[in-house]
Amino acid sequence: MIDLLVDILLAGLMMAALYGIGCTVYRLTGIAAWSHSAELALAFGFGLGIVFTLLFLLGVLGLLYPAAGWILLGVGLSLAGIRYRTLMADSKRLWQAARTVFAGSWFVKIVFGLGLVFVLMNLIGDLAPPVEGDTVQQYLIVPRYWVDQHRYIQPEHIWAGTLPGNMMMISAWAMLLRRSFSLATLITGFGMSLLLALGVYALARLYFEPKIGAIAAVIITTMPDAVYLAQSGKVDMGWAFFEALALAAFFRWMDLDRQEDPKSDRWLLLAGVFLGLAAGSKNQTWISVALLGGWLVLYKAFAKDWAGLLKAGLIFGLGTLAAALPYYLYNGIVHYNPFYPVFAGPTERWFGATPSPRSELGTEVFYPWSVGGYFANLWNASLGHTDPSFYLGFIAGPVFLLAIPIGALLGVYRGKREIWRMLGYAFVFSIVWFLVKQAARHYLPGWILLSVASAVVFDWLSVQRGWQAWITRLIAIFVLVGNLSQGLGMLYWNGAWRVAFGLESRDQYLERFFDEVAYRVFPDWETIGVLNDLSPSEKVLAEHASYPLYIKPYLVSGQWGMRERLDTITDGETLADLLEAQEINYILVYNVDPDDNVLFTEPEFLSTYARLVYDGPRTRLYQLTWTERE
Amino acid sequence: MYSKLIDAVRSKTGLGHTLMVLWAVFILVNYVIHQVIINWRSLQTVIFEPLRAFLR
Repeated sequence: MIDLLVDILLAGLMMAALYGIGCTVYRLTGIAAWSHSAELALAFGFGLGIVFTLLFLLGVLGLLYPAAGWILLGVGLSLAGIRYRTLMADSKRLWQAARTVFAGSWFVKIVFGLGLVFVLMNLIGDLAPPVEGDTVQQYLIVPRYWVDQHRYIQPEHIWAGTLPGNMMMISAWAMLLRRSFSLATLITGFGMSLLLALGVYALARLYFEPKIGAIAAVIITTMPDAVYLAQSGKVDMGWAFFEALALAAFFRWMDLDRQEDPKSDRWLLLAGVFLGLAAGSKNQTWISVALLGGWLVLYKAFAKDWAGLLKAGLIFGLGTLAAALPYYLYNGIVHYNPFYPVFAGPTERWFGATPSPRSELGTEVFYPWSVGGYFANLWNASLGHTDPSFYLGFIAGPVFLLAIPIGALLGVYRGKREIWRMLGYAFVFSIVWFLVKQAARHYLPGWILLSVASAVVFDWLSVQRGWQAWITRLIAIFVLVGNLSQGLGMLYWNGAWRVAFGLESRDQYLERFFDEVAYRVFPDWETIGVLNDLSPSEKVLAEHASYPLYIKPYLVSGQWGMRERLDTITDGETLADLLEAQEINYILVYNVDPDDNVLFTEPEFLSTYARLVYDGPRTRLYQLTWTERE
Repeated sequence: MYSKLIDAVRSKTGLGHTLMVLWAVFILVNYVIHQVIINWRSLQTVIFEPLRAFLR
């Protein structure tokens, strides 16, 4: 239990340090935002940007030692201490905003109360060790290597190793402070989900009262996919926070530019910088850069302001490039491809860039590229993907589908130009999303805007009279409870709540999870123990390289290899030579694997080139025999 | 055009609100159906099998 409390305390201190650093820099810029919540959100944006950029530089210099993490925390907390009065004032304003919301109608009270239940549920989920797939296979193991080796490296056997690492650096900071993967998810998942809610609130406050802002924050938080992401070490919550800030800054720029306010340009610069920081967190941001950049061009071109277009383009573009630079420059130098592994095929042909067994483009596209496919994706991303032949992750939930047509049909949006602007951008984004990546989480910039549009309808609904309004309100609540049940189902499935309630230690949780909950193609606790007895520098090849976060040796996947697929090789001699050249000395084979059809797990190959060293209930471990010849 | 549509919906007493509640029910029913289809196996394991065992 003390373990959990220490993690909660440290996560809180990390957030306070981010605030301290960000608030100090924000004050130095002299920028006045449209609301206190916006100032708070900007401060966190600045704080995160400075901290993860600094950590990247430390990583490149080989200085990622615990002392660096503690010094960063100490500096941040000292600055927060100096800004104590501001911190207290900001906390008081947030409290006042919450009180205003709770003074609203019963409907608003219930919606807001449900939002708090979701926050508590996410906190409970993050106290247990992470078991989410991408978290344990990519997004926490990469920072684990950085922290282990005290430097920024790109492990060849992990495809996320070359992805933009801003959010992974925040996880690395957590691991520098304490070797707890839960602390990393508490800050990168839970902490960033709170910041995303703050970002959405601040965006809504650009045009609307606190109540609508609070409802919008609740709507984004109660998305089943947001729950899933908040209870993981995935980078999406932090990425979406920067997208929200960039959208708010971009809208601010347009509004002030129309009024010919001389200070409008600083907001455009901020929009560019926040998009750059988002791009340093997730490759997909270049869609937002293209769309907002295109909007900027159209806006200035319609006004025939060509000089303004050039100036605005430069401000926006340079702001984005400067903030996005670190990881793209690194990849450009090392791989001749700033976006590696995206575009790996063409860049290899054109410039001899590093090849990749997998480009991110084209994955997670399941619905056909047609009008019907577009609507089927949108419908099922809201209600549930019922086709068992593919998996697109968690959904956004039906709130948007429920609220926005009501707002459009009943004239709630009439005269609200800003809402139509949001809906228009969200619609254009949805088309690109549908063509490129169809999982709900890739549409977070759209959901952010749709949350605000839905919140306006919920606010309108809260004061409507008549039995129809009553039933619609009840249905809206029921839908949110439905979203909650998906999160609770996840907690029930993995039993993470048992850790938060002190019924299991974290080790007991992992043991039970691997032995009783995990599928048969995931390692059991005994297998993990056997693998951890090997030297950490060993490489183990497995067709299902699952849960490497908890395994010390390198777990090499057949599909990715060391950036070269191993599961498609059909000649035994060729494969054996390649394994020897890559110093892969072990092969892990799962006993129950009906789909398995790769050469390195076939008995004939194993009997020729390897010997059995472990035969367990779920797996067998083979040692390749050339290791004995040496 | 859009304004005329909204005016038409609003001018009929209760029409707009009736459409609203019908849409809400439609979404709710679809949400439930989708989730039941997706989670059918889990529902069997978690709810129906224990319930059946209890009733026996």
